Amino acid sequence: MELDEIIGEDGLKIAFLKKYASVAEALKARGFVVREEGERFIALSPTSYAISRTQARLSPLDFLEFFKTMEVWNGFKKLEAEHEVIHVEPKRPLIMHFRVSASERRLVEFAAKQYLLDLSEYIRMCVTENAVEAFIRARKQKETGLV
Amino acid sequence: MRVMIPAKYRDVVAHLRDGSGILYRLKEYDDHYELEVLTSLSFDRIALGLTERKLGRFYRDVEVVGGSKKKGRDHIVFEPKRPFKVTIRFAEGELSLIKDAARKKGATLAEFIRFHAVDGAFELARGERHGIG
Repeated sequence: MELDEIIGEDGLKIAFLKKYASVAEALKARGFVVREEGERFIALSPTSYAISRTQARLSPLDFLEFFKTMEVWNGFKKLEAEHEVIHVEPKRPLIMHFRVSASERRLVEFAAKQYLLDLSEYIRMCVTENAVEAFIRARKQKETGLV
Repeated sequence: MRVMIPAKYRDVVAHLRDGSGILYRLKEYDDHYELEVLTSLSFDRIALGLTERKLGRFYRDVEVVGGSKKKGRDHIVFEPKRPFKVTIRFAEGELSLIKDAARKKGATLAEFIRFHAVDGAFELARGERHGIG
């Protein structure tokens, strides 16, 4: 399965002007799918992510302008850490339930507290991280002909 | 979940002392041992130094409080009762990735989510070694 197929038409997308080529490069280097469409770049991601000003290689003013002009589809954007980081989050319309024992719940609550996250944010982070790693590993194995 | 092991399985319990402390707590009583287990736990026959027949007897003799036991040919799995429901919201892309990864591991979606949530927390707790009630 390719990343485009996984993300789908309803996936998280950002669009930004071609003058921000340094952002496109930074995202490509991190494994994002980045397409060129007319005067803009379109970057796709299956999950939330952050772009820092240093990664984007932009001045504080340009970074602010980049934030204001970028468009987010199927999600939203936030400017954080004193305008140094842009956080992009997808809409999350799908609800999933699973069951835990009392001690599993205590254990996960303890870990979430260490990361200053709520329970569902922490679980989503753990699970999504592992799924993304598994996907990247499988893609690398395919590329190197190991599978 | 608590796993009660009769005292006659002293040799088996000796193999269990390695994981003691964080994955489970081992308590010793006059007539039995008690394992207080955090999450699901699997006992491997070879790691415990048991024959197939002895594994069968061991399976019959251990009692589980607050969970259940299941026997395979070479292992016994203990699963705690899971009365608490956790709800999480996902984006479509996230859920597609998770479903794909779960399918490759041969796990159900709920099993995959629970495993990684608990495993991540467990690793963190192992590093901290304190603060878990």
